[in-house]
Formats: sequence, structure tokens, C-alpha cells
Amino acid sequence: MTLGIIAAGIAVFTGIGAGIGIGFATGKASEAIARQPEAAGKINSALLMGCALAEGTAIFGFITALLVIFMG
Amino acid sequence: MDGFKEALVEELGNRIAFTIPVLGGVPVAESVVVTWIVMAALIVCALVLTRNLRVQNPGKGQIALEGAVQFLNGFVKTNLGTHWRPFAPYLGTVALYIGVSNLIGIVGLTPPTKDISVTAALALMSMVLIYGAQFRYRGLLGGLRQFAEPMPLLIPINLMEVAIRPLALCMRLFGNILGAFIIMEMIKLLVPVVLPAVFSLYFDLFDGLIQTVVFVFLTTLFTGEGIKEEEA
Amino acid sequence: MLEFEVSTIVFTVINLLVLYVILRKLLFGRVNAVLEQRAALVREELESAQIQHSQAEELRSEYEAKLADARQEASKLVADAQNRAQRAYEARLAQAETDAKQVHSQAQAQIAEERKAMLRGARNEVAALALLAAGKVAGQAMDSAAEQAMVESFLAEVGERT
Repeated sequence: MTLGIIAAGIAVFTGIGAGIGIGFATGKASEAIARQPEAAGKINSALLMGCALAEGTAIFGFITALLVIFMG
Repeated sequence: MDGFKEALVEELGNRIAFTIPVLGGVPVAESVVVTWIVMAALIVCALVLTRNLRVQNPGKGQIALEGAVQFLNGFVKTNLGTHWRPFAPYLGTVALYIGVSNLIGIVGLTPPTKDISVTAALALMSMVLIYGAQFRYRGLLGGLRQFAEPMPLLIPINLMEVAIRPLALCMRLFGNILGAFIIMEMIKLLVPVVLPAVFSLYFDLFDGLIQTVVFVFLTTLFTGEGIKEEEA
Repeated sequence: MLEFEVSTIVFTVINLLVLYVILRKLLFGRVNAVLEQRAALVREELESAQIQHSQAEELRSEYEAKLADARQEASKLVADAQNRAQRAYEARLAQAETDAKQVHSQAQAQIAEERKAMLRGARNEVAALALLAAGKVAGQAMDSAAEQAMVESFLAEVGERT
């Protein structure tokens, strides 16, 4: 059980990558909007898409952790 | 702690509402029942909102409705190109359904999107939509050739995407809603007053709407990827 | 928690399809129909306005052409009248001039005639006087034709010389 908890904790580390990725993406998007405010709509949609994809990894890690805790 | 875990597992399980006594009993999950409620609410809303539409001097409600539909049409058109027309109603339906489903937790019902089978069904339909559109508008050969875009080297990856895309869609929606649900349960366990309301605002309202947008947006984008370059 | 329930998936797919069909008919179909009707209406009105505009433009150019025509005609008429008046004036002037000239020349001719007649009378008288004087000098009448002629020629000579 303790091992399972540790495994779940490790699985949740995927959130770090997602956080860094989304942070980078958002920063760059802000820069882009500051440079070209008229393209804000396109930048926003691209950002949303990238964030959704980056967030996917975190979600997979989270689900893995859940599996480990509740099923393992 | 163990009691909490038991309660959480109990909460997370998909309860069976009732069983249809045919073919040895077909179980009807709670999420399906809630889906029916959502459907009924949506249909009633649609009926009420479209009761007397006028071409000239529309009312305030009609203007808002038209604005929403026009926004949807424009969004689908920019992402899908010339063949946008049949897709807009479906994407709008999915958006309404997921949105209402995500928000229905506020009323006290279990969100159907917390059931992985529901999100799996949604993702399955998105997959059918994406690849169905690709083959429908490009023909069998053109649809197959689309897997070799942008270069033949990527064929295995593109084929893997057929499975990964729906899986990611399904898991993303499910994971987000489930995660929000678990966190909300934990907060309720720790601090039963005030705090849950504040966090509910973020996790139920904001997250739910964002996930709706992301799901519909990704489905549209993938569909557009399959059929858009046609006119170029 | 993470098991896929086939019956739920099937139910959800059916639910979604039903919801799609109903909403497409009730919500999107109706709203899109209204939107299209309005777009058609606007297009129609725009077209009719365009047609009216072009008609008005046509009418205007027609009127303008007519107006220009009329103005040209009027100016032509005026010019004509002026021309005619000028011509009449000139003709009258020329007539008057010739009249005056004629009167003048007549008067001159008359004067010349009178002078000539007077001259002739004077010469005759001078000749008669000369003959008379010569007759007196010669003591005889010099009234034969030959003498008359001689005096005449003499007088003519004198007249030419003077």
C-alpha cells in the first residue's frame, strides 16, 4: 500500500511537465498578443489548443495515479 | 482516512439506476438517466427559445440566440472550410450537452461526464465524425492518402493517432471532471463551509466550460485537419 | 470507476444522436432558417435599391441630355436671330449707302449738266457777240453759216487753250 502511494505520487509528477509547458505557452502567447493585439483571437485559439494538449499529459498522470491508488 | 477512501470510491462508482429486464437485464447507469434529464431540459429550452422567431424586428432573446448560432457557424466555418454546414449542428449539440452536463453538478445531480463510458461514447462519436468526414469528402483513396500527410514517413504516427485522439479526448474530459469532483469532495471533507462554494465556482463552472470548449474545439480542429485543405 | 460499460456507451451514443436530430430540427434549423431569410431579405432590398438607383441615374442622365439639347437649341435660336438682325442691318446700311451715293452722283451729274449748258449758252452768246462785233467791224452782217462755223472753231481753240 505504501509502495502504491509512492507510485501514485510519482505518477502525479507528470503535472510538473504540464505546468511548465502551459506556463511557457501562456507567456509566449502574452508576448505575441502584446506585439500584435489584432491577432489576439488566433493566438488565443492556438494557445487553448496547445494548453489542452499539454494538459493531457497531466491528466494521464492523474488517471494513472488514481488507478494505482484505487485499483492497485 | 480509510473511511474517506471508502466514501470516495463509493462516490466515484457509477451507480446503476435500474435494469431493463430484457436480454438478461440491460443495466441503465445513473449517467444515462441524467443524460435524459439534460436532453429534456435542452429540448424544452430549444422549444421555448425558438417559439416565435421573426425575420423582422427580433426580440432580445432571439438576438442573443442568433448571435450564439452565428458564432458557432463562424467558428465551424473558419475551422472546416467549405463543408462546414452539416457539422455545425452536431458540434453545437455536443457543446450544449457537455456544457450542461458539466454544470449540472451545481443542481445536485451527478455530472454524466464523470462516467468514463459517457466520455468514451463522446470520443467515439468524435472519432467517427473526424474519420467519417475525411473519407466522405475525400473518397476512399483520398482518405487513405490523408494518412500519409504531410509525409509518408508519418503513416504509423497518423495511424496511432486514430486511437490516441479519441482516447485523449475521452480521458481529458473524464479526468478533468473527475479530478475536479475528487478535489471538491476532499475540500468538502476538510472544510465543510464557505470554501467549497468558492472552489466550486472554479472547478464546476470555469473548468466545466473550459473542458466543453476544449472538447468541441479539438474535435473541430481534427475534423478540419482531415478535410480542410481540399479547397486550397 | 474506470470500467467501460458497453450499455452506457450505446445508450449515450443513441442519446446523442437523438439529441442531435432534435436540436438540429428545433434549434439550429429554425435559427439558421431565420438567419437565411433575413440575409435573403437584405440581399433583395439591396438589389432593389441598386436597381432603383440605376434607374434614377438613367433618368437623370436622360434629363440632362434633354436639358443640354434644349439649351443648345435656345442658343442656336438666339444666334440665328442675331445673325438675321445683323444681316438685315447690314443690308439696310448698304441700301442707304447706295442710295446716298446715287443721290450724290445724280446731283453731281445735274450740276455738270447745268454747267455745261451754261457754258454752252455763254459760248453761244460770246460767239454771237463776236460775230456781231465782227460784223460791225466789217460793216456787214456776218451771219452766214460759214462765218458762224469759223467763229465756232476759233472759240473752241480759245476754249481749249484757256
